[in-house]
Amino acid sequence: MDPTRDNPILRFNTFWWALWTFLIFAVLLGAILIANRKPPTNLEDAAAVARYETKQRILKAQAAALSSAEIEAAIPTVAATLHASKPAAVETPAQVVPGSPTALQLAAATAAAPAAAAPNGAPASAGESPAVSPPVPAVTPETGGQDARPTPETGGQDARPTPPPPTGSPAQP
Amino acid sequence: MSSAPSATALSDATLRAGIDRSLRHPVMFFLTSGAAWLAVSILLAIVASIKVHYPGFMDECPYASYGRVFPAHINTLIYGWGFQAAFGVVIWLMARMSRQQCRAAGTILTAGHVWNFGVLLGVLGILGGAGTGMPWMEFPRFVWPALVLSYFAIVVWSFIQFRVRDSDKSYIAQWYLLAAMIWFPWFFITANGLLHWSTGHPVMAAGINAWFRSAVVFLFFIPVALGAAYYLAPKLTGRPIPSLTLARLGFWSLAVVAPWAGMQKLAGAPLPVFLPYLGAAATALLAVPLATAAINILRTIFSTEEKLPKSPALHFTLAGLIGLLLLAVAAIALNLPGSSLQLTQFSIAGYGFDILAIYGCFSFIMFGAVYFIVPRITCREWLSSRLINMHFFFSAYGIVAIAFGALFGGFIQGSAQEAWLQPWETVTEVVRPYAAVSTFAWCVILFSNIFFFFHLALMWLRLGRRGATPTMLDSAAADLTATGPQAGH
Amino acid sequence: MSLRNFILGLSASFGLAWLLVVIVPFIKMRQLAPIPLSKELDGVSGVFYPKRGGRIINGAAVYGENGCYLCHTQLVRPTYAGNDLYRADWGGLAKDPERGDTRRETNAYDFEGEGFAQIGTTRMGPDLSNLTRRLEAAVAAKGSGSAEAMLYAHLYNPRRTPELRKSACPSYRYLFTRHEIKGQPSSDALPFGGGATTELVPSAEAKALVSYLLAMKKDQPAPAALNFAPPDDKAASR
Repeated sequence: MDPTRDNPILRFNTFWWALWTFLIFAVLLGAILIANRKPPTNLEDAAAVARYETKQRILKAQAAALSSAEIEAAIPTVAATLHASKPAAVETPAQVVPGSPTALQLAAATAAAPAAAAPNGAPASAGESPAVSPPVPAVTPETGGQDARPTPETGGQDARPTPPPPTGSPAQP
Repeated sequence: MSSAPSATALSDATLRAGIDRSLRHPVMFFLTSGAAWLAVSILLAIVASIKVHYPGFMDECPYASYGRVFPAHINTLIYGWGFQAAFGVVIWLMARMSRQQCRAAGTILTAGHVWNFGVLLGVLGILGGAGTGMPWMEFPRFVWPALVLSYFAIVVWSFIQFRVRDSDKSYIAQWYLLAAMIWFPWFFITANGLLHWSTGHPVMAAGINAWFRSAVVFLFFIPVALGAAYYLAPKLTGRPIPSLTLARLGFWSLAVVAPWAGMQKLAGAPLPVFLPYLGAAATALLAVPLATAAINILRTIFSTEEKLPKSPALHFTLAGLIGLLLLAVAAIALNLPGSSLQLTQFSIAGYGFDILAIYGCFSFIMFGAVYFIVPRITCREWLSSRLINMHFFFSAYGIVAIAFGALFGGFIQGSAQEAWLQPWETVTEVVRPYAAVSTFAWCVILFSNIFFFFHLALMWLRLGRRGATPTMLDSAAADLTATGPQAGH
Repeated sequence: MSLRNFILGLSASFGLAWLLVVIVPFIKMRQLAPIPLSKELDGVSGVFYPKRGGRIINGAAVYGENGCYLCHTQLVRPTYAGNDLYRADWGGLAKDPERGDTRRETNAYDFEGEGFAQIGTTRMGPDLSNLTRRLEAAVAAKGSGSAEAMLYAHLYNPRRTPELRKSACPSYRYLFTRHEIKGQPSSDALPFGGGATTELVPSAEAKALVSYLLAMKKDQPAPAALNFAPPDDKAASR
């Protein structure tokens, strides 16, 4: 018997000792988790890389395009030009409202001289059209609209690598 | 010096009586509330089991849906009965073996109420549809910190008692109990912390859950059962443990092997492939510590030539040890990769294995400890050997039916699952008889535990028999006991 | 052996396993490296990203709360661990009209977005990994109905159809409510059980659960890096 073994100080020490023994792996776990705390990256982030690239391209294209200030500045000039211009009767067959008197006239004319008018008409109208067509859109087809939407590559409910669209003949027999 | 033995004996008896008195209320609280939860759990098991073969039974009621009743059953069995029985037995055994009175009965009792309240809220949460969906961890996530805190307040005193004990020697039983006390917060906080407070990969979360389930059995229930058995067997037979080396081997092999086990339940899942197969190997290897300890204790019991009085504690302990041996065999039989692992991985054999461990081994030894402890702390003897007999035999028949039904049925079910040319309906057909056996067996176990609970409640009300002779299972042996090894309470 | 050495021994034996089977795999698996798709092997570029979210994830919680994991698994094991891939239409469709043999084992990305993979414990019922693929095949064979309607009907009464009359699946009728028809009948209403003025409609929980079950189509082509099918089948499936 060793009566000195049992004393309040030892009991008190043992209490803390027991506490640490019970919690040692909880503390270790906490330490390990904190040491391994990384900014959360998940598949969403990985998949988003491609989307961010697309976004950058779009932003760049938008920046390269006309700014609204320039358009605003150009409006008076364009308006003045338009105001100054006189309306003229449309000659190009493609722009004539079908069924209108002009159309009927033109039809009558082409019917009268089919051999002479037909080969010349189409190239002539194609050559004229850029002058009257609206300004080129700011976003080019490669960078715009279609790509900005989530595609199977960048995400989507049932996203899976879809095979290329069928080309008519099966790849494998 | 000649008068020393009797004086020592007298002071020893006084010391023991003092310890018993200091722990009377907490131990009785844990044992009775544990027994009540056991009854609740068995009732839920019956409801769940009936629903397997009569799915229309009570199907209007959301609170009685199979998917809620079954988790409620297994969680009450573990946290309601298993842990509380373990608390009652551990704090008493640790105090007795360290020869220290308990000075914190009030704290333990308060913490015990917190634990019970936590379990109650958890079970109501499960039945109300707030379960977490993680097997054995279905309690809503606010419950587990309360369980950890109350656990600490319950067992820390036993740790202190061990430290300040008046001898440098320790008992084998103390190793197991101390280790179980320490292991539980380690794996419980790890699993709950990672699953409830951290985010990881969902499949790894399922893996940690499987590891946790294995740890509950092999790092808490089995060590507590072995600790109690290592105490009870020498105490009841008056014989020493035959081999210290074997005991050391059994203990440290359990400590080394058990933490690796568990993930074999996820064989084939997209985890690093070494994890499930390491788990399978560890679980099969657990047969070594289990069988070593069981054989060591059984040799203690059978080492005596004289006919032992049929003590109820010894009876239950013996049955629990046989359950342990079966568990060791099952640990190997269910976990052979390439053959039985894939057959039984998703069959009812898993349930059979768990119930064999928790009821067939752990609970039986706890019953033995209860029959040993309660007369000492209430200073009354058990009222009726017939009630104890009923409890023993019906429990034994019930657990044998469940364990064999589920283990054997699991193999049948697994074979049907793997026979991929057969339609799936055949699989559900072949399980049905085993589910029926299970329902019947749970009814039998409920019947047996009604006797237990009734008897224990009478003892709790201090209505036990006053007398010098303990209650034995055969009345003829009762007169022998006055001189037998039983005399040393 | 002193108490200190005893605790040190326990810490060492437990700690090694704790570190190697729990902590390190947990940390390592927490953020799986994204699998890049290659143009020549997979046909598309970018990373493999099976996205699941919203009501599917809510449905996973309902699945857990109602204990579906007790009887159903969500794991198609590789052939070394079980015969699941051979069982008709468990790992995918053996004869998909468009994609041919789509069967594959479960991969780590199939539980994307869930907190806890409901691998399951016991197979009292069938594996659910490709439940909706099977239902859709059944719908296509029958030429009427929808997988969604079949799931609602099954949740309400699993034993309604003659081929499932012996099913042990519990009824989840408490996830449905009966209400009065005001104006047009609800599109989700069950085709049975309604009266002249009332109908049975799924609650929000049932809708979430069915969304989750409708996402059980775990046979999307895996990226070449995860495709463990034998080389012949690989070529055929592309």
